[in-house]
Amino acid sequence: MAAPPISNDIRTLRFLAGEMTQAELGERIGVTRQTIAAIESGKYSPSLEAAFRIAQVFGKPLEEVFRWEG
Amino acid sequence: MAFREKLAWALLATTVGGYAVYLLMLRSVTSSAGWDAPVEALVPALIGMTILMIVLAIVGAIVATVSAPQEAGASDERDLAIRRIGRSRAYGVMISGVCGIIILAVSGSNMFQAANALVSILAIAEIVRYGSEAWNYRRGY
Repeated sequence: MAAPPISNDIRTLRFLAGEMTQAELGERIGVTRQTIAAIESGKYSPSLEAAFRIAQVFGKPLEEVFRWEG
Repeated sequence: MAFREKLAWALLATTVGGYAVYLLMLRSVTSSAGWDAPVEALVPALIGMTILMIVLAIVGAIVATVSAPQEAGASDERDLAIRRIGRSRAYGVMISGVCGIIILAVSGSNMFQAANALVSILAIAEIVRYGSEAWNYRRGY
C-alpha cells in the first residue's frame, strides 16, 4: 500500500517534549501506542479529530505537525 | 506484534483450520455418497467445523491476551477503520458468492451442492475479512 501523502513531525515533537513515549502520547489523545507508531511512520493517516488532539498536546497549530505532500 | 494484529492472525488461522476440517469431512461424505447426498449428511461436518472454530478462537484469544495483557480490549479509530475495511471486502465476496449460489440453484443444482456452496462462501468471506485485517495491521493502513 502506498504511503499517504501526509508527513508529520511527531517523532521530533515527542523528542522536544522530553522524550515523550508513543504510549504516553497515545494515552493523552485516546489511541493505542501502535496507532501512534503507524501515524509516525506514515502508514496511517489519523482522523481530523486525532490530528487536532496531537497538535494540541504539543501546543502547535495543525500545519506545524502534519504536512500535505500530495 | 500488537494485540489486535495477533487476534486477527489467530482468527484467520481459526477460520482456515475450521474450513479445512469441513472440507476433509465433506470429502469423506462425497466419496461414499457422491454430490447427490442428502443435505443432512453435512450436519456432522458443520458441527465439527463449528466446535473446532470455537475452541481455536478461544485459544487464540487467550494466547493473544496473555502475550499482550495491557493491550487487551483497547481499541481505537485505526482498529475500527481496519475492521471496517475487512468487513467491506468480505461483504463484496459474500454478495458475489450469493449471486453465484442463486445462479447454481436456478441452473438445477441440488440442496447438498447449494448448501456446500453457501458454507464455502461464508468461510471464504470470513477468511477475506480476517486476512484483510491481518494484512492491514502488518503492512500498515
